[in-house]
Amino acid sequence: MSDIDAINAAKTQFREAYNTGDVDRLLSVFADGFADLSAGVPTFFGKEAKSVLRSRTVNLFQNYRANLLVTIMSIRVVHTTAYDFGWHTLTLVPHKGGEPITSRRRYFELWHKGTDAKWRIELFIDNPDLPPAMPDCETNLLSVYLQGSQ
Amino acid sequence: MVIEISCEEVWREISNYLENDVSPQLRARLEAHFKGCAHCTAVLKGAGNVVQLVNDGSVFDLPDGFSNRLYKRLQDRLATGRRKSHH
Repeated sequence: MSDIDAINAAKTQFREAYNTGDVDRLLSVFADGFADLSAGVPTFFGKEAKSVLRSRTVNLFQNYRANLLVTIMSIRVVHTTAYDFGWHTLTLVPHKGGEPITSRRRYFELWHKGTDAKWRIELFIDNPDLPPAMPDCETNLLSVYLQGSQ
Repeated sequence: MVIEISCEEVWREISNYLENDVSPQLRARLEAHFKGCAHCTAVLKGAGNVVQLVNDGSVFDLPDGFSNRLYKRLQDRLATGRRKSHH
């Protein structure tokens, strides 16, 4: 199996873990001590990151049935390091009933191939996606940047 | 279980997909990707349109005598160019 195929397969594990509510399967895709720079939540890295991810996803799956759609834009491999980026479209259906919630985020992942030849995520970062737009429509771009600096 | 595939891999396989020259496994991966990727769906439709245009002779029906007139005009243009370059 090529490195790209192996990362595609790991991303499939990632997706299936969400869609089956399997926390251990999800955690198996992440390296111990990975850096979690997910949007909307505090940053965790080192030993804490995996236990925080476990806690977050246990809570998530207790309250929602998840349906994750993964769209990988590109995978690039350099020796035992790789990165990929794309979109995650997550739909959460409340167990208690109610309207499903869908969010689409663009993500970047840094991967490392361990001595066991398995690829795992060392860094994860994402942010909310925006609808496609032509460059000349981005008139308020500066104000968007400034919002983040306040 | 359908394995993920990236946009870049999809683009490499689009012509094979349109020509039915992919394995069932790869076809399933491509179709799962198209469901969630508007960009690749647009590329697929664009490539499909090109293939359809090329294969559909009626789209390129030209008026009677068009080819002869075009050939003659090209010949005339070439001849004029040659004469100018000799002076």
